[in-house]
Amino acid sequence: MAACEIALEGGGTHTATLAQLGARTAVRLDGVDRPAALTRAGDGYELRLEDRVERVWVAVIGDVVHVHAFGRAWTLTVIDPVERARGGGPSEELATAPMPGAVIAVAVSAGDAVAQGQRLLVIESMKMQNEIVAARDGVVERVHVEVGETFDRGAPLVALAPLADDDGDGDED
Amino acid sequence: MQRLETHVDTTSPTYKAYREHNLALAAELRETLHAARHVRPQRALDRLAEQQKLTVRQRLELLLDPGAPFLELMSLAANRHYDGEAPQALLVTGIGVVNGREVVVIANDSSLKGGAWYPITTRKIVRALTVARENRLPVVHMLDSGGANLHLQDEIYATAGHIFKQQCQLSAAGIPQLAVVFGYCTAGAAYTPTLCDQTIMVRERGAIFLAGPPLVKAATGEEVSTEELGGADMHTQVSGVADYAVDSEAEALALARDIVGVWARREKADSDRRAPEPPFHDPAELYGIVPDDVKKQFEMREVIGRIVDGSRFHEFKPHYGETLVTGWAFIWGFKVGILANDGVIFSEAANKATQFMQLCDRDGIPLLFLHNVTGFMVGRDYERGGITKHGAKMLMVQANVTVPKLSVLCHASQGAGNYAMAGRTWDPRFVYAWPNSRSSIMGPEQAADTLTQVRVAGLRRRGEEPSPDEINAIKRDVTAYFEQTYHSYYLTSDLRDDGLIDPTDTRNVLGMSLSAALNAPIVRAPGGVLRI
Amino acid sequence: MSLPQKVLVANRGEIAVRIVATLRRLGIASVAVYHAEDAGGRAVREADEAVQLFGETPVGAYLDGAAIVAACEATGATAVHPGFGFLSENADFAERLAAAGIVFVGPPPAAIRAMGDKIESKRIAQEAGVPTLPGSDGAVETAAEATAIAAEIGFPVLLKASAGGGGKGMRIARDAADCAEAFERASSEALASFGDGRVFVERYIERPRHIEVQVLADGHGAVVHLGERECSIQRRYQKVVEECPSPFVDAATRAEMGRTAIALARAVDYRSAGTVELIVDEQRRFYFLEMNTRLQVEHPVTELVTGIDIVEQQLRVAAGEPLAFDQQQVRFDGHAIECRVYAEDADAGFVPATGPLALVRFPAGEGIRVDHGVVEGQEVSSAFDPMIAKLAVHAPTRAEAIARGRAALRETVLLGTITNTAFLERVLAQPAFAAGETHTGFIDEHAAALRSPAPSAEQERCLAAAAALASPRFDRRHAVPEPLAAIGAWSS
Repeated sequence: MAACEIALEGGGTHTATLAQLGARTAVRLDGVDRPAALTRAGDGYELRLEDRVERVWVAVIGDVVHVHAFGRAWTLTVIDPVERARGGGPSEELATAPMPGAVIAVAVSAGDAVAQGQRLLVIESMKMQNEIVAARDGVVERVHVEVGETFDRGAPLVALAPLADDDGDGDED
Repeated sequence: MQRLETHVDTTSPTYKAYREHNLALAAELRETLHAARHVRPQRALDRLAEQQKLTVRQRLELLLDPGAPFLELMSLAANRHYDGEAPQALLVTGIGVVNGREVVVIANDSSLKGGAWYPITTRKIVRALTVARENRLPVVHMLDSGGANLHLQDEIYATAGHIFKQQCQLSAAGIPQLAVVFGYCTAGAAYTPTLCDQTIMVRERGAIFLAGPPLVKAATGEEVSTEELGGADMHTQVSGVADYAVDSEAEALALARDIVGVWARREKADSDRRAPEPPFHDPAELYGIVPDDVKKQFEMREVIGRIVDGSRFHEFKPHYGETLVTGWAFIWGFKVGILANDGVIFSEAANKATQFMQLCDRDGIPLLFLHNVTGFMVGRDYERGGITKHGAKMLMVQANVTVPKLSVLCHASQGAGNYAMAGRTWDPRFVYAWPNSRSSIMGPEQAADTLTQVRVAGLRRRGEEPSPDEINAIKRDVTAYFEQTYHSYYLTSDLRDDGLIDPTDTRNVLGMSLSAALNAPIVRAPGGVLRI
Repeated sequence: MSLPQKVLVANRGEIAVRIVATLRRLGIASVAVYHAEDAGGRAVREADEAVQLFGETPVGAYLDGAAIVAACEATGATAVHPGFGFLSENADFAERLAAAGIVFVGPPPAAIRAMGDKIESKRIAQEAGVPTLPGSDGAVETAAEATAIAAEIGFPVLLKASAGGGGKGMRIARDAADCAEAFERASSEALASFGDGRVFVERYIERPRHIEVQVLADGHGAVVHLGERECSIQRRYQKVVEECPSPFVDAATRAEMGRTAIALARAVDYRSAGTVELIVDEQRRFYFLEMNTRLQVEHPVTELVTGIDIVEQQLRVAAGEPLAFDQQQVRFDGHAIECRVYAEDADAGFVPATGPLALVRFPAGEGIRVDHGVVEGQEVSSAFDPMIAKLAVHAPTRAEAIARGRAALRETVLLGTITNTAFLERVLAQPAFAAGETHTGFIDEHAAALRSPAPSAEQERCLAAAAALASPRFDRRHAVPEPLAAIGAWSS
């Protein structure tokens, strides 16, 4: 695995790299190599970390790992730094042109509510038609192009209104 | 296979004296290695921190699998060169494990001199790429170098081209290469990342260009920033010179691990393997076995018994040519054919070695040479017996075997004996040396005697009679020159081996070397074995 | 009369499972009812038959009396056990069952009605000689009236909704200035919550304890009490830890409380199991709060200490059997503590949590009783109360029960959502709890000590290692080859 970050709810964030060595496993935690093993034991697992042996139970739900240890449940999130860095991806606010081309059809206008994945525009480029779809649910703030208009790569096509901050709805009780 | 008997008396004064001597050598080696790897002036470390750069050792930690071994090669390169200003030749290389794959890592150390190349740096890279090519090991380049030290350009330029040519050959041989660009790759060095299969660049710090901004300004008057000219975003979005732009070194190395994890895992060459077993005899006793003077003899079977699995050794022709021990053993589960000197090589020993090498070559068994040799036997009877002819057969067969060869200079390795035992110039896959070892064309005393005789004869021809003082001075000069140049530290500094190793590490070093070597297929030689 | 042959359990979750268990032990066939949300639940699995209910909301489904009558007719069930909540204190429902010839396992409708109204029940209690808190005789109409009454009975006073419960529509007023605002707030909240804005005023007890008496009446004139339960450990006005007996009640008080509770039951011609809730001040004076005319959530602690199956007694009484024991035969053995395990975040003001119960491991062993209705893999939804289980322990002494409870809580594994097990363990670990210094403000008073402690550095390392090793991102096929793996962390 990549060198992952592991964030403990109510605790800190640690970097971890793992290796399988025969039947053994090793964990490099925050730069320090530590022999470690997680093996099935009874209805849960046995965790060995260096000399320490702990009875643990584990439930993995995607990148969230729930661990019951030391008499209570803990929640940890495994973060791949590479994935996180790419997480930004293309802007959700603004649909931009993936390649130069021309607008074939405009499916929305300013003020329209759109759902994630909904078609906003059809563009044509290099003799291929492509749909531009909404990256998230939202309201169209502005359509930057008209049918027939040509554009360069990266040109703004459709902007969604920014999401309002979700606060101020507190309960007084 | 029988367990080797031991005749070592660990209570004897000799044992104790040797042990003390060799423990001191081991400590010196440890300290020297530590200094070369880790000791840097604080301002050098501060400068790295300022640039938000990790040290090369921290980078390795993030790249390599935890709990797995790292066979660092040529660790003391340039240690006795350039007034010591380029420890390790400012480059770390070795065989490590990334996501379960054995890889060759080649990493600049930019803590000093901006990670500049010295002539030995260039040769070290060439050697590391040779290790990759011969053993079919993927390469991870970790690039962060200011470029060639122009004061030494002549020697650098003489070999640097081999780096890029080998990169091309690695590609053709189907051996993957990945570059992680942490700093500048300027001019020729720009080709290293560009010739790799995949390249990762760190934003703001990594740059690839044929000429940096100052040179561009001088050449064309164009003013351009580093990022614009050769930065990560430009190369990954515009030029296509690199493939991935990342924000931090940690992210770069995480991504590097991922990429290596996607590479195909190759099956190792088919060889005789079994479950490893530690040596029965204590390897630490090697310290008391190896003498405190390179001229003193010792029993090489005692060394074999402290390196091989279970101390078990099947000796071939035990009663013939007894100054060269031959036989089979396992090291970390890999079968090897061992040739170990027990003194000077006689004709019978040479012939036995030749026959044994043919057997191993036919059977696809890697060869291990354990050196303690002062050369081939000289003298009238031996010349009449054709010692050179027998030596030539040994050289001929050794040079042409197709199985991997590994050499360890355990003590003396001199003259043609070094050649016959697959010394550096005979291109074994790996060659290592113990700190007590010495290697030269002949022994310093013989050389001094020989040279003194020649000089004295010359003076006499001109009718001069040298004074005893003059004779002593000549002897002293020659001896000093030899003492310097046949020393293990000098030799390793000049890359005449792949590293000085503590004798007790020999088993692990050989285990990893054999494991690496078996990544390349063993093509068995056709033809029968001659009983010569 | 004999026990019914088939009983429908008009409830869900752990209590449905618990009732089914007694039915099975008595050889009575069981019918569960369920909303689609609970289709995979344990109650449906444990019951002999199950009938789906439909409703506008999941809760609404369980409140549909007509559908339950229909389910009885469809399955041939001749009695209904309502559990607690839902229709358990609904007199109309009890009457509707009676009209359909179905036995309601609970008290007569008149008793339900009499005790269902706070003001009316207080009046009855006073008549039966049960001490009540000084307060308004009935609902007060205006803030001014409330302030006048408060001045008469003395501050501080509590203003609470006549139809209330669960802390809604409750306000404390410490002086006359406070009182008007408190009245308005309590009233408007009561109106919003119960559609009934009536509020009454009573004396507010400082550091009150909530202690209740379990009674059993057979309708043939026998009424016994099964001792008290102390339920003072509450958060958001809801009980989370209950125990039997109370560490505060002495023998004389216990006898007096029992006598009083029995008198009240008799006053309303009570039948079946019921609970008289009392508020107790620091001088061990107790006052009537209300009577719950149903099985109580925390009944297991009484069962553990007395060895009496209260659900069985309810069934027998409903079938017309007289009680088979008298007060002298009721034995109290040892100490029991129940902890309510909720899906909630104790560190964030006990907000309910949702999520899957991806891994469920309940403790077992001597003196441990777990009442739960969950199945591993099920989702804790916001459709119902977020109680997952009741963990009850029984031991010879209170100290041993606390130790056993703590151990059992530490061994309760519920992963995938947030639960309060660690919080409950910390409650039991408090020296003040061990000392029996329990009152309804206990959790607020010890809030700092009850917060999750930060893990130690070594614990963090263990957890991070466990998470890393368990993560599917760790591809074990990328193993270090041999013999390098055996050589291990060595470098030349």
